[in-house]
Order: sequence, then C-alpha cells, then structure tokens
Amino acid sequence: MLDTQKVFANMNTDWTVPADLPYFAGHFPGNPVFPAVGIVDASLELIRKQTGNTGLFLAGVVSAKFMQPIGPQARVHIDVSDVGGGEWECEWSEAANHERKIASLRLKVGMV
Amino acid sequence: MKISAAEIQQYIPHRPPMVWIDWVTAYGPTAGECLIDVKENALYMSPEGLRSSSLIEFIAQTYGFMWICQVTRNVDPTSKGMSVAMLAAFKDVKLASPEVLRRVKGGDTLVCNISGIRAMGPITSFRGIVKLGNVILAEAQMRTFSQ
Repeated sequence: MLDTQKVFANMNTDWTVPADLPYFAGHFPGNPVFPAVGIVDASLELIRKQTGNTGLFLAGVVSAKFMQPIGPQARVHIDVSDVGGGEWECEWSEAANHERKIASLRLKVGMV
Repeated sequence: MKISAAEIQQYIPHRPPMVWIDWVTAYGPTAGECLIDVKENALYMSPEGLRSSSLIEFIAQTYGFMWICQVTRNVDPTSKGMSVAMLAAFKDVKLASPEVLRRVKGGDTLVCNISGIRAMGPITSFRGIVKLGNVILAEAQMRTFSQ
C-alpha cells in the first residue's frame, strides 16, 4: 500500500527525488527509474498542495509525454498550472536547466 | 491458458513490489489479456482503496507481460525479453471515480485487455481497458518504449 499524500508530503516545485521512494525497489533493480505512474502521483500531490485541496482526485489524463528518465536524487523543477475545465498542465524539467524537459502532462482532476 | 507473472519475470526488468500483474490469459500479435488478483497491501493500493493512477500502470504492464508471451512462445523462443520497458506517452485516459474504485477489494480480480498493438521499432502503441466484472475502471491509449 502506498499513501502518496505522505510519500510526497515534502515535495515542492523544486524537488530532489528521494532515493527511498517505494517505486525504485522494483523499477528497476540496478537501474532505478521513477516510473510514469509515480510522476502522475507526484503531479497530483503538487496540485493538491498548491490548491490546499486534498479532496482532488485524478479523473483522467488528457495527454502525457515522458522525454527522459528520472533517477533517484535527480533535481527537478515542476510547474503546475490550472488551464480550466478541471485540467492542469504539469511541466517537469531539470532544476538546473528548465529548458531540458523531462515530462509534460495534462491531468484532468475532479473534486470529492 | 493461464501463465503466471512469476514465470515471465525473467524476461522483464520489473521486480516486486512493481510487478502488478498476476496472470497472462491471452496473447497474440495485436491483442492480449492479463489478470490482477487484488491484494490490499500491494503498492497499487492506497488507504482509500485502489489508486486511480495504478490503472495506467496495469495497462502498461499488461502490454509488457502479454507481449513477452507472444514473443517467447510464438515468435522467438530464444528471445531474452526486454531489458528496458518504459511508458513513452499516453492520452485519452479515462478513470473511474473514487467512489467506484473504493469498491475494489482484496480478493477481487481485475481484467485488463490490450488491443490494436502496432510496433514502430522500439515504440509500440496500443489501447488498454481495465474492468472489474462489467464495470470499466480505466481506458487509455498508450505508447511504450522497450528494448
């Protein structure tokens, strides 16, 4: 079981991906890569944090692209922006160079 | 036909706790099917029930597991499988509401179907759907990168 609200409690727009995230043990041994599902989970938690609304849930994903893998201890920058209609854009880039894109997602969120 | 995930693990890079598929029940050049025996303590669960994002990973892993069966049993028995397998993109993902996902309990079996598989070098596109009985929990169009 994974409580993403606890796992990502300390994340912010500039974030060092913790090496002890539970995904890494099996994805993949000897070559740890933060999985797409983790990027989705983390993006949703950042939206919850920025809106102060823990009742937001993931209703869908309009689109998601993953340009380069993220390993443990990677420094990333994440911009989330409300584009209306319950949709949020989440742009992941390298913290040291925001031009180097890591992932780009458009999430559809709902509210309980 | 029911092939256990344990039997297939040697061909994929995923290991527990990130192996979320339990059985492959169909495989072919354009379509396949896997089963997930829901376990309450698995990483795909949350304190509130089945996490919606997990459904995306179920679809991706179903493709990986059924495709390994297709390759190693129908195409090339000497294949060593995949050393890299990652999601490149997905779109048009529709997910069930939290109210529906809370009904998914340990002991339930989810069925995940893959269709429309098209390979372009290391990139493969396909469509996936996850169901609990007749209830659709997720639908998505995906592209994976694998080698």
